[in-house]
Amino acid sequence: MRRAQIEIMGLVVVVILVTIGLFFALSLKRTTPTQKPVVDRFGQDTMAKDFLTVLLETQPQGCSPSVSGLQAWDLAKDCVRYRNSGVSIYACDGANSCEALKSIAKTIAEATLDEYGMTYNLSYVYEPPGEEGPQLIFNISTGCHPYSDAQFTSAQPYSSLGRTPIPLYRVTTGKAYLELRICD
Amino acid sequence: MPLPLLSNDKKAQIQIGESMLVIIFVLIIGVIALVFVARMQEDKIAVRLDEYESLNAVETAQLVTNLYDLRCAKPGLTETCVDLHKAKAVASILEDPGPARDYYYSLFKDARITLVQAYPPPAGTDDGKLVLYDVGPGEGNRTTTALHIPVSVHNASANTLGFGMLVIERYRRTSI
Repeated sequence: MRRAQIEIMGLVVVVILVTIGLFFALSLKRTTPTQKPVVDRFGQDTMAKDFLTVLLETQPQGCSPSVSGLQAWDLAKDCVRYRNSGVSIYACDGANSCEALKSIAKTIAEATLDEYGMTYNLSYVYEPPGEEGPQLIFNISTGCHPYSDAQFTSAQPYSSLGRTPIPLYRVTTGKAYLELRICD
Repeated sequence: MPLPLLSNDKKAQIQIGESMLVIIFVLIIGVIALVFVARMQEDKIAVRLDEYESLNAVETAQLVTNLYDLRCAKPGLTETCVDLHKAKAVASILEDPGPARDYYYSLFKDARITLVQAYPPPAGTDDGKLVLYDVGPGEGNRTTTALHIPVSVHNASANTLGFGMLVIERYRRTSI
């Protein structure tokens, strides 16, 4: 009788120890938020959306001919013209429109996106009319996926995309757009 | 006769001991369960606090970007445009405590708002950073939630439009 009681007591002790262990394991496990914080999502989305608009409104320095109010918009349009016809209206510090636009975008991205530790892909794409696929004019990347949506899979859990079309009226046919993707 | 009495006493003692053990174990498990529940609640509250703090930072960002005191007056410019001269004036007014800073405190609370000029790149000793507002607890007593908003920076005297970044850091006091 006493032996049976001792065995039962042993079992009870084991059950109690397992329960205590479970409680400790569960209490040590921190509750982690399932979603990215609101501020991060808002910041990333705002950055992707506004970065290109502000970039294109920026007035480049040292460009000729000296036109009052010349903006990066004008360089973006002129860049497509230069790519198609080899003629560039504007030159900034000896560089053609495409090089100048890339240089401005790179300077700004390094001073902002790189500074804040963001992973991004900034690309300027021209889509000629017809069957031809999109052509990459330039690309500045710190490891984020390239411009094509097809190549972008769910490998990256969250990303923000900003895309600004460049009007090509009186320049050429086709479509051109500047795209910024910011990844986690 | 004394022998059976003694054995009955022992049995009762053992039974009382068993009951006490059971009560002690139940109490221990109850205390552990309480600690566990309290810790879970603490974590949930911390996550909620972070969310609220995030929303506060977003609210401050919206306020700053729509603040008439900073917006460009020149027509035709983007909505996210900061007038450099207005920004410098705001920075100098809010540098020292006074009614103006009290008024802005009612809008921004504990925060730091900085205008960073990225293009044209700052020249010489100028680091291109202009602190517009900085009110909050000391360095060691705060955590920060930061937001970066791209803005055009209009310099009316030089008639240039550059690229800038409004950095909005919302402070949270870590000790009371």
